[in-house]
Amino acid sequence: MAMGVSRKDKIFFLSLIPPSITLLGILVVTVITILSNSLESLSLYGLSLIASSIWDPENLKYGLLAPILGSITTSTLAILTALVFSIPLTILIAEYSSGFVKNVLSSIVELMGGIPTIVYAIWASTYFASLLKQYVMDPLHAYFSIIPLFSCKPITGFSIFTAGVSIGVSIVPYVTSMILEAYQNIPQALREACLGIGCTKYESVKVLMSLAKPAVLASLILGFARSLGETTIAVATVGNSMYLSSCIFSPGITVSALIASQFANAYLYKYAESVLYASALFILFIAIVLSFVGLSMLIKWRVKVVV
Amino acid sequence: MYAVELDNVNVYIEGKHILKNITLRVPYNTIYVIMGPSGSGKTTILRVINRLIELNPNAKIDGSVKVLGYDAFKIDPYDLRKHIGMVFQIPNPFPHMTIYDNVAIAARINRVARKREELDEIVRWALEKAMLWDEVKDRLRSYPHVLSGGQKQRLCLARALAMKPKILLLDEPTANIDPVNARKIEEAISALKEEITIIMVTHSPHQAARVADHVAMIYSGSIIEQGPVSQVFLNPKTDFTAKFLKGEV
Ligand SMILES: Nc1ncnc2c1ncn2[C@@H]1O[C@H](COP(=O)(O)OP(=O)(O)O)[C@@H](O)[C@H]1O
Ligand SMILES: [Mg+2]
Repeated sequence: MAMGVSRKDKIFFLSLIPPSITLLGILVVTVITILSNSLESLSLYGLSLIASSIWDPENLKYGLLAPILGSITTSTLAILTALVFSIPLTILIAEYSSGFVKNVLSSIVELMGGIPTIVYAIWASTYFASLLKQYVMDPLHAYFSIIPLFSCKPITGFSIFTAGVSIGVSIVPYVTSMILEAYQNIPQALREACLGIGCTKYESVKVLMSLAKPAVLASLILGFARSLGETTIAVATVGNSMYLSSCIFSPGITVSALIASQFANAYLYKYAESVLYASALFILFIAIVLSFVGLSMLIKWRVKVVV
Repeated sequence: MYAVELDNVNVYIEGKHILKNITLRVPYNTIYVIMGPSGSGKTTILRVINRLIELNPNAKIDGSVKVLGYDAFKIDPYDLRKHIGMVFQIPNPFPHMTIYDNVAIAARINRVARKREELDEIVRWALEKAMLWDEVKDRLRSYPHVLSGGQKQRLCLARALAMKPKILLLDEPTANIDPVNARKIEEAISALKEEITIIMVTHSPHQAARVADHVAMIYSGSIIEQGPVSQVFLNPKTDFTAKFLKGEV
């Protein structure tokens, strides 16, 4: 502690400790719970738990490959979707608007970030899924069905593709705010360097965006980690099928959707609960690693460019 | 005809009168040095000439600015800046581009060169003119963070030259670097006036004496004296200039 603090300050400082310790404790307990509950299935099934895609609880056959690949695919689609919206939004807000308009635009982005995901989930399942089927999935299948990803005919809108794009829409505010912050943190001296060599506005934006590329990448990595955990939208749009398919237009499942939809009934089947815990462990592990990687990339970029 | 002509230029920022009735004429292929204490408005004059001043929405400008015979405020600012290179007080190379690309991008953007060989040639030319070539020729693929402050500033000079500008604005290019590098930049600048009209800002009278053809003395937003360098240095008309030249302010 700093020198010369009064008794009251000390008490105030001490009062800050319990909540912080408690929070840390909750985190540790959560990880330990998940870990210890997964041990049974991990030791029983070993690698086949993540390498197999057979899901047959009645016969005690558990393979998590479909949900794991589903999570990775939907999250990849999600960050691609977010990227398509976030870059233009960033440029629009940072370069082509000022004063009132800029405030309105940034507020809309922030507001979107505050919308509960259940709202996105309802919208995506009742409206967006069929829209995507009609205007994106059907045409892609019609013209590019040689590509395995597009090879199956979309039956309903509910699919890995729809889940990915819908989750992507929901993380646009999160990703945009990170990219925007990085972009606006580029020092004025470098903006002027662009203008100083005769860049047009478009050329300046290109140079500055390429400067911000590591930060954009980091934002996408963090967006990926967040998409992995997105549950409500996934359950509502992914189609909840345990069959593994190489085609993103078929219904599928994600780890989060699997846990949310199966956990209540898991006690009916032997080992099912432990398997679900193992899948959560998997997601937790990837999310922690990615968050760490993303955050350290952002910090490294800031040190290099902003200071 | 002058390369740059300012007539009764006034600049106000948030109501504060920053530049007062600035009138100056810069002949082609000369080095015109603006001297003055810090805060007197030197940078602002340069930023009026290439219209960077307009990045500040609170700045109001009146008067006439002619660049290469054109009314600077009647042509597109981006077109205007294609003819005017600028080196800033603090070196600002692009940290994410190699030394080569830092120079090449200026040539590419201004369509000075497109093909690989042309680019190679202009990059080399610019780095040679900036007296940096020998120090970086073996590490053109490195990033600018490996360079010293003075080398970075010469890289910025090379970048500005690669635009093939008609006019070069230098804002205290040696203020933040060591004397050896400063001398190199001065040498480079002196050799450049054959091809380019140079307007340089400095707070060092010694530097002005070494490189200038014409000098202007600015104090508190007004030009209080200007003329050929010998005239101003031998016969300063105002007390302030005399003191400034002796290093007393
Ligand atoms: N963006 C700005 N906002 C407010 N005042 C400014 C701004 N830029 C410059 N000034 C003021 O204008 C005056 C001249 O600044 P400047 O041209 O940078 O001086 P110099 O380059 O001679 O040191 C200073 O008093 C400075 O405070
Ligand atoms: Mg200045």
